[in-house]
Amino acid sequence: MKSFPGFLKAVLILTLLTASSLIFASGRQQSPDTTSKPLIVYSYDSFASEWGAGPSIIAEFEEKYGVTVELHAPGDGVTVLSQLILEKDNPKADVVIGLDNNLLARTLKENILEKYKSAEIKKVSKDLLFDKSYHLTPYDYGYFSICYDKENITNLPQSLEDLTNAEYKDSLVLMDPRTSTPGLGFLLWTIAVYGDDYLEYWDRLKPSILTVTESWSSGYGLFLKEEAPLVLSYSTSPVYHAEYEDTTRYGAIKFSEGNYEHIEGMGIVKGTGNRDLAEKFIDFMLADSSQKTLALSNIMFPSVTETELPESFKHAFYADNALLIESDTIEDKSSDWVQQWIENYGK
Amino acid sequence: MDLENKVSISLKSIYKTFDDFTLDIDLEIEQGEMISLLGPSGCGKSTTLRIIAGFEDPDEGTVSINDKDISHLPPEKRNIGMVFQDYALFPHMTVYENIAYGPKLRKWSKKKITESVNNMLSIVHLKDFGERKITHLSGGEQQRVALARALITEPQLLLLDEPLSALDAKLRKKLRREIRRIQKELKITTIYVTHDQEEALAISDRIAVMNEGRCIEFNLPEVLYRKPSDLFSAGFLGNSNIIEIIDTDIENKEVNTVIGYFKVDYIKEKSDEKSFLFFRPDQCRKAEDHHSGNIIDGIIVDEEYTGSHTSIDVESNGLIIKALFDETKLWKIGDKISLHIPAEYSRVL
Amino acid sequence: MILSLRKVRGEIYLIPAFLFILIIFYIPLSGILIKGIQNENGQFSLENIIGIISSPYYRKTIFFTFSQAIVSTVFSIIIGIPGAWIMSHYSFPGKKFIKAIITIPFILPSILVVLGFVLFFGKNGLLNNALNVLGFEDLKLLYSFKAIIIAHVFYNFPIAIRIISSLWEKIPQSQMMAAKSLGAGKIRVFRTITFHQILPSILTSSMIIFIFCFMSFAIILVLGGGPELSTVEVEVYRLAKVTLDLNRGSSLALIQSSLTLLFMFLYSSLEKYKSYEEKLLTKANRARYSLKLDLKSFLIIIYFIFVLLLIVAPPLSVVLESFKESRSLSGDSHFSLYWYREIFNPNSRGTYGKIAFNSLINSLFYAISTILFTIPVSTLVSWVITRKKLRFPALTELIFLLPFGISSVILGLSYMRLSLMLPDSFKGSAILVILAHSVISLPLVFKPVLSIFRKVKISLREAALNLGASGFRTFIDIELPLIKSGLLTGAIFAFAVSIGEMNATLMLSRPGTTTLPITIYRLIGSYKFFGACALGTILMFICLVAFMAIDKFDGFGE
Repeated sequence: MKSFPGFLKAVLILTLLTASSLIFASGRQQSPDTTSKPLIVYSYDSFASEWGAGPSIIAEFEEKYGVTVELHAPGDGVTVLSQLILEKDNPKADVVIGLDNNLLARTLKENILEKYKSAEIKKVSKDLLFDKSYHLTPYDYGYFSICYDKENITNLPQSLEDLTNAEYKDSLVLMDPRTSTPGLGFLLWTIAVYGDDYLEYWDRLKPSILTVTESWSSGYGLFLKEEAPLVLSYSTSPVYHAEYEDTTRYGAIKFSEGNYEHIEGMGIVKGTGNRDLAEKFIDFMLADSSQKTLALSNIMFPSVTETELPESFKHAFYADNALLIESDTIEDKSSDWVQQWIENYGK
Repeated sequence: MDLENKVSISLKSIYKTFDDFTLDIDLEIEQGEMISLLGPSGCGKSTTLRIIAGFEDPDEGTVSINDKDISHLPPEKRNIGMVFQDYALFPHMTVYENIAYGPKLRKWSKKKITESVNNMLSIVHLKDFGERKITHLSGGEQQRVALARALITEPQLLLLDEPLSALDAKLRKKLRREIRRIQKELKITTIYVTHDQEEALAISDRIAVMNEGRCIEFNLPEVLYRKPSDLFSAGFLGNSNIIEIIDTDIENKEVNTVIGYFKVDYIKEKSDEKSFLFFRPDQCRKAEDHHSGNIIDGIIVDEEYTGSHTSIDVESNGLIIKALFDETKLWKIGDKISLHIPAEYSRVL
Repeated sequence: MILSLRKVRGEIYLIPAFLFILIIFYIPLSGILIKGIQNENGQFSLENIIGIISSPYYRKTIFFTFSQAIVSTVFSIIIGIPGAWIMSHYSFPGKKFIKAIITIPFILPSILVVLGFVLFFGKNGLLNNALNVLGFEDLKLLYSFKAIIIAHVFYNFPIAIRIISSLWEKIPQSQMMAAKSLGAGKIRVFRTITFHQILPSILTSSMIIFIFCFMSFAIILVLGGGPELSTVEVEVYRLAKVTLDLNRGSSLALIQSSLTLLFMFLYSSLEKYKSYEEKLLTKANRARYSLKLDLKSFLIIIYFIFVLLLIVAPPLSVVLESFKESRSLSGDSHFSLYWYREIFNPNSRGTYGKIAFNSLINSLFYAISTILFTIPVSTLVSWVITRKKLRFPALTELIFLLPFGISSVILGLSYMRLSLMLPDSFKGSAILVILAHSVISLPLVFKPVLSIFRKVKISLREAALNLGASGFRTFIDIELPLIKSGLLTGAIFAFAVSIGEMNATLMLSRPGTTTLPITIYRLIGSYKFFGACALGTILMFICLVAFMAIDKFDGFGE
């Protein structure tokens, strides 16, 4: 109606509300340190959390070099990759942490990293160098393995094939390869072992599966709640319980066919304006203190072989037979494999 | 009306197109009079009211009050009192607060508000109702509160949009008298929208009969009743007999119908539409010997005795004529009867 | 001149709101969705869309998504209606508390929902343990289709209760009493009169619940037991976040969004059509009955026990977990206040306490700001839609509802894009996060406000104008008091959505700013389950307090 002036009043009030909200909001900003250009690091979520490896490593780095580091963690590893790809034409980051061996081919295809062969890389075991072009440098690794709960199981499966035995009915919690890294890892594991017959394997495995969760978190949570005595996790998982909970109740099984490997890498973002500092950061991640922190926070094996590990790590195992499918093959075939898997599962 | 016949409200060439009809109104209402907008549903009477109140805009035309053009004013600036069909009382306020709302907006002093509200409550016979919640009022009480609320700020015009349609017949009769009484007491120009012709006849100074967006006739109730100038208003108000005409003799004011020849008082000029003979049932007399024309012979086919009247249906040459007498039962079905319609009450429309 | 202003279309009033949603939502979203109609090289191509539609796998997935959502919605409404009736007709001690508690599931991060469910209903859950002790066999509820439905109903039927009861409270008694006096039995009265009057709210809540279930993710996978039962959202996640096939992922998202848009449009039209003509005459009928000792009360108690079981037990299980700590050789957990001590002890050695506290403050800040932003915007938009002439009212409504029907995966990518689009100085600003939270919660705030606005008779507004009140005064004096309950429902939803939000916050906030759900996820991701439960408990407690505080305003000014 002809109430335009009244409407203006409403707009005024709204603006006032927004403005006051803004003022309060900006009051919460931390004032950035502008002494030098900050190093922008993209990582996955748990690295950035306060009890993750990130904050302490970064704090040490900042102190050592007198610089500022900004850590941005938009989600998991794949999310970080998506962001880098989206920002391709106008890159914001300098360093990226958390791109694993499964993502190598894609990373290289998108051409979002700069090559860097760190001097420290000689400390890293040759087997772990999954990127021969040195775009991604490994900083930690682990093996997928089936973990068990001593209280609820006595006769342990010793191989993928054992898992299909009747005694393990409804005993195993897995993750979905469509939505989780370990889930995909396990699928690749079965492909590495069974080749083209992997679908038949899964048919035999199905009765043992209690449920397939969307993420490691919910799966492992179910396991801890004793919904099932076996869960897909990492060979280093028992380390956490030993180190922080003083318990040896949980273990990881080394399978006779081998365990699938999981290597995490870091790299320098293409187009970085801070190449020098970025290189130093990569080097720093391979330094002893960082590697120790990574081991204890990520609960993974440090890539630098000689790193001294605490007692609790004796509860983890190194796989005799580390399985790994070629990164290019993964890039080509993995979505077909996953699709076949799901269509087979739903039969 | 003893007042100077000053033109109070003027609707000039109000024109507005809708989906099913076009509103086309020209109306001049005098100071202090109470007029009804009467018509069937959908004829545009409520729309006209809303245009006056300012809730709708005409495509063309102006609305003036006391010669001041108010067409451009928003509703809140028009100072017109309005009673809505659903009363629109504010449910979260008490009776007092509802009535006091207008004065509050005008920043009257607290003392003045209290006085006026109490005064208003007396006028509508709702003393001591101040603290009552709206939800605890009966229909009739709500209506009176709405009236009080509309009148308290002494508007120059009062609009009532079918204010009694939600009430039962007895209450309607009682309240329409109340409204008329208050209106006369306050001498406020009032426009009353209704579809109930009995109501319009009872309380209006003048009635504007409307149909399909146009004002058909605007005149005193008795004129509209006795001597309407349009077939529609004739048929809408009260009962009527409408007879098809075979021949017309304009000079002698005589017409020929299937039920006989009639001398009439008025013949309406019509271009190409059919004309009809019209007279009211209550104008029928029993034919006496001295009656020389305007006779209808027929047989009674239906009769109804209501205590104060008897209405009969007379069949004459295939048509049914309705007649109304105030005598007690004199006839029964099957009786032959001759009716006489005085020429002055016979019209051709 | 004034005449032309008067003829100003309603759309003019909406310009600020349009701008806001355009910049924060539509522009970044289209940047992502456009890939759905492109091939790898960025050229226009429908190959992915065609590929999806013609694939039996995708069709099966879409069909399953649809059917589980329908079943969940129907059950949620059926179970919600009696609850709504109780809430709107009875008063009893602790009513406000119960009202707040049933809204809790809504704010929990889905992982806690899932965990809570497992904790209670699982093989080794509280329920089965109790049954075993009593000598009964396990109730095998989980890892099946019915588990999905149960979880969905648990999560959603409180929404139905809230929305339906808020309308039911306001239905004038006159019609019901008239019908009863004419001899209509109770069932008949309900069927013929009451049902029609509450129908708009049934439709609103159905739409909301349906879309939630349609987009469901974690619950489906974990509780469903396996990938045979999976929804479109899982596939979008897979394509967009794992395979990184953004073209195909966006195609699927386009199809998914078109479907949700279609549903929302259908619901909206149906709702408007059915919006009962009888407008509100009365204020809330303050509950007329109190519990007595009779059959009705007995049934009500049964209902509440059932509600308790379904709603309270799972989160309660989470709460119980939070009081545990695992520090023994046997790995058994025992009762401990360890995690709470960590949080509330400012001098705690661990950083856990500090982080938890910061997360709490940040979450509260964002949630309250979201309320402050969305309530006026929703009110403005609702006011314009109901009071002004719009050329396309249904479309206008949909414009503000759409964020609701977009996959959270795609939303996440949109925020990523948004953060790219904006100048650096804007990055990480709290206002950006608040705006993003507002966009996502707006549909849920806007709908109840719009519904209640529709119920306020136009004649009341006209009466006020007629009495001399300006449009603004009319709003403050007349409309605002009458729409209050809708605003409160909206505020609750704004708070709830904001406090549980993760995607936008992760993407857009300044590094180092964490909120409760983010911290909870990080805790779980680093083996600290009990800690996550503790933080989850705190989250639940905060929401409980907030809901009860907001609900307190309902009786205000009476």
